[in-house]
Amino acid sequence: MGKFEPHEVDPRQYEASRRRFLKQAGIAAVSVPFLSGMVDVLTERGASAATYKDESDPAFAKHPAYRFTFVNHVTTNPFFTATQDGLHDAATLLGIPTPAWTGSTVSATSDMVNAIDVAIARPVNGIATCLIDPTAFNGPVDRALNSGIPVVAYNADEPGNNRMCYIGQSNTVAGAAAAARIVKAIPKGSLIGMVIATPGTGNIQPRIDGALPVFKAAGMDTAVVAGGALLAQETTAVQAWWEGHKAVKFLYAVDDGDSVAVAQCIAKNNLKGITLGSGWDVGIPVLQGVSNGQIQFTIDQQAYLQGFIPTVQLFLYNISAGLMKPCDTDTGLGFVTKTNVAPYLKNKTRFEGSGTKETAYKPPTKISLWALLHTTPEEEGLAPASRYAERGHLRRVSDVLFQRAETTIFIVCVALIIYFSIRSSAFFSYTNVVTMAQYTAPIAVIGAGEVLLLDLAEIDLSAGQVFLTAPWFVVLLSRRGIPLGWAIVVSLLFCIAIGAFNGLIVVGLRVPSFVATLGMNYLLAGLVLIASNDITSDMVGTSGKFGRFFGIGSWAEGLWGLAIVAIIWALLKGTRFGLHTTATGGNELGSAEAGIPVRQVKIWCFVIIALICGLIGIIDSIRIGSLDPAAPGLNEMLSGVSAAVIGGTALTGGKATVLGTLIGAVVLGVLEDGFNLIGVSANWFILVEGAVILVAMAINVQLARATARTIR
Amino acid sequence: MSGTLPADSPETGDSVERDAAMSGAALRVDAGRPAVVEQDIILRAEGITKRFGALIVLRGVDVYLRRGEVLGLVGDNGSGKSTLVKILCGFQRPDSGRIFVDGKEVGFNSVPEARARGIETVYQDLALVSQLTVYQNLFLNRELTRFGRLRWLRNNAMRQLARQYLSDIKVDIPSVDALVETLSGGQRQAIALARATRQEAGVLLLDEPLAAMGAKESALVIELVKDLSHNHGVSMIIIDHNYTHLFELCDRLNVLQEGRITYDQRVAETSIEELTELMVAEYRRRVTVGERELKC
Repeated sequence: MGKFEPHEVDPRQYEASRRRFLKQAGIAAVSVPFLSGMVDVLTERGASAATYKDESDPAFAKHPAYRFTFVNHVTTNPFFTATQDGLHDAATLLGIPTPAWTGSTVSATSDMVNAIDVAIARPVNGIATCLIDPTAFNGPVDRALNSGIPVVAYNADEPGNNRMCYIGQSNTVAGAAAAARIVKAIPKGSLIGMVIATPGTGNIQPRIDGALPVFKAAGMDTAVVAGGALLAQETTAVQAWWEGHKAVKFLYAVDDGDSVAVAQCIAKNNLKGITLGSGWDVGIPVLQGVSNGQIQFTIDQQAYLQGFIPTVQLFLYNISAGLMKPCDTDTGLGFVTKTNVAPYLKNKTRFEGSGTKETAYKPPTKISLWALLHTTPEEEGLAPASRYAERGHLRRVSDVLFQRAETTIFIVCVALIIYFSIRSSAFFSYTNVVTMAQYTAPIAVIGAGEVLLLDLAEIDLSAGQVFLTAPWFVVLLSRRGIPLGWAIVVSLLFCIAIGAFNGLIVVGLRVPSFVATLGMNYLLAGLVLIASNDITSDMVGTSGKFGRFFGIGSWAEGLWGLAIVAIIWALLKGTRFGLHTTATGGNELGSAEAGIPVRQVKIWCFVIIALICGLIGIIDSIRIGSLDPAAPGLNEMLSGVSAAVIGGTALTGGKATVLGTLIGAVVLGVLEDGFNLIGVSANWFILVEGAVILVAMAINVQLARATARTIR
Repeated sequence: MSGTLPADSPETGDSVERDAAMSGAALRVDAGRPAVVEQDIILRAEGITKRFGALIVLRGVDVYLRRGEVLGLVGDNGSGKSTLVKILCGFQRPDSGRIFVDGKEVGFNSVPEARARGIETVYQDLALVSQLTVYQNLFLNRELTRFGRLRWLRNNAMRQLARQYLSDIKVDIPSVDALVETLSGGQRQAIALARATRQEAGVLLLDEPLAAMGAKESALVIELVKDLSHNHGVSMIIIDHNYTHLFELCDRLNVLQEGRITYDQRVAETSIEELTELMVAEYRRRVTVGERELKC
């Protein structure tokens, strides 16, 4: 994405009309003849300084027809209509051809770099470009400078680039300038609310960063008000904050939406003259707020100047044979106050990109001192950037920590491990780690299977019973003389059939999965009781290489579990099937609309969970060596669901994390193992498990709410 | 070229005369209309009728849409607009009448069939999965995959294409990785529109695309609709109650009254006032008819 996203900066694009498209086409047409004029340029350039003689009055009586090129990242964007008017007007005044307007329509750096190289090859007498990439422009700009062509940056800048100057808005400087106005308007020690949609976001946070030192230096009390992403949120957020801070003297809004919210708050509560406010950018509602006196001022980044000034600077550089160096110009200090807001609202003006012909406007009779204030904190070279600029690394770390569903359970997990390792020196012993892996594996696998179903907004209550029944199939089959390997294969086929049956009942007969699989759970439990005559049995295959591979080897169960979970993770995260599962769970109707075979997806998920639960069940029982026909499958299933849920998977579908489930299973495994290790009774374990589920869920839900408010 | 309809403005304001003329049937459209050049027409419906039990909703609707044109469909509640759109998008079958796409007669039995013919419908943001990201939604069920049957997702390629496409049509969103549920209503509608047009949709049917949207949000969607129409040649039929929006968006307006198209005029040749009067006249007529019936 390009650095510049015009929606927040400029409302005029909303009025883009056919006329404007036609007009831009006209500008493009004008620039075409320049290509044919290349030859003249070649002869004129280079001789420029030598041929220019001071022929006094008028100052620039005779000069070559300097040719400049503007390389833009969104050439057809209406925001830059004013910029194009600006460069055209400057060229007309200076008596040179209108600079060429080229680059990319879609922020493609490669197109822009090509355009610069073409300009160097022509060669032109100067280049103005928008540096929308940290490094991509270093090469071309250096090439241009090395061949004697001056390059200036406009609208978007990169401090690491060798461009001769930057002409555009600096958010930090504009913030400081706004603050300087604000501290003049209110008494020392007043409370200022700094209203920002999403604190920390790329190009709006600097507006606060720039203002803050000025507020502090003036002895003001400040608070950040996070407005939120939507206008409705912003309005209520500002209103609510005001209710709690009625002493506030100034509301400083740094983005379009919050500006409107501030204006509304002041209007609604009749605060005119009691609490002042300011806005950012020149959206029509913001301008109306200024006009009605609800807010004191707003800031315009003046796109017209971004075309006019580069042209003039490049011209001066050329005509002075390099004596006049292009210098930085901050265009982002166009303060719009009640005294000058009228032309914005009333007139269509080419200076704001909305007029077609030049009109001479009457300048204001008095220029407010405020407009001339220019407070510079440390210059950061910040360009006007996208409202959605990439966030910094610091922000990303916090993103990972607080916006991921797995975070809570991970912290709980680490805390438990630390606690138990302090309480018992045996915790990290080899045998204990193996034991924990064995505790964890079945929970993790059943949990991973349930994640698929929870993602679909379904559930499989029979998963635990399948886990217990599969080894019974193996035992019963081998009693009939079927070789062990085949017995396992056939019992896994049975599991697949059970899953398919579950799926068909849910999808075909539209029985809710909760009920359908509950029925299957008891069906299987009864089957086991009947087939076994309620007599405990030894498991088969518990010896030799086979047994070691399938369960009695100390790491066997843990590794099987990890492998199965990894496959489910890859399935859900990386494949089309996984994506369709999430889509189906999130919006079944919409997914079906898009052509996803939602019924097939559901059936497959039921099959997969039955298959993996059966497999880990066989492995688990080979490790243990005996089978209990009366073991309750629902318990196993609920451990799996608990692991999934405390790991951050939602019961409502569309939100699933296999990684979180694995960590959740580790937590349950560590808890069970740890309590055994330090000799706390099993009764306590159940109580603590309950508490962990409640606390982890409460934190998860609250965190999700909090982050939903701050992310756009 | 539809602008060559007879300009019978004296009649417009005169509700009495119109009442007389409008004994159930209407006028205007049939009067001396020049034939429309067939190659220009991307979608044409002829004599569409639809009844639900005793209720006749459409009484023979003739409607056409030129390539790259934006047609606005206006009408009172219950005039049959939504039913017409449902028939055009394949959701419902008409009782009689014919539909032509690119001059060829078609009979849709389902929405996917209509979609295969390039007719896409955008139902608010209902078709988006809010728990998925923007790019996942754009590519839903059209995912790019590799490793054959494994169908491993090519997320980076999809991200890049999504980014490219959204910036082509100038849709401003935080990131293609943003979850749709974190977007505003207007942004969601924009994503739904983007998805509908991503695969060369010839015709886009929009049923109240601006419903329940604030001014800021509407502006976003209006801008996108304009861009799709002007720069990407998408033909559209838009239903909306807001005349201001329709006049901003559309090239041509049709009025649907009591199951028939009663008015067909280019936006440049009509005005909000004219349209309002037309609707008010219709309302008055109905009241008079109602009174007459009461007296009987």
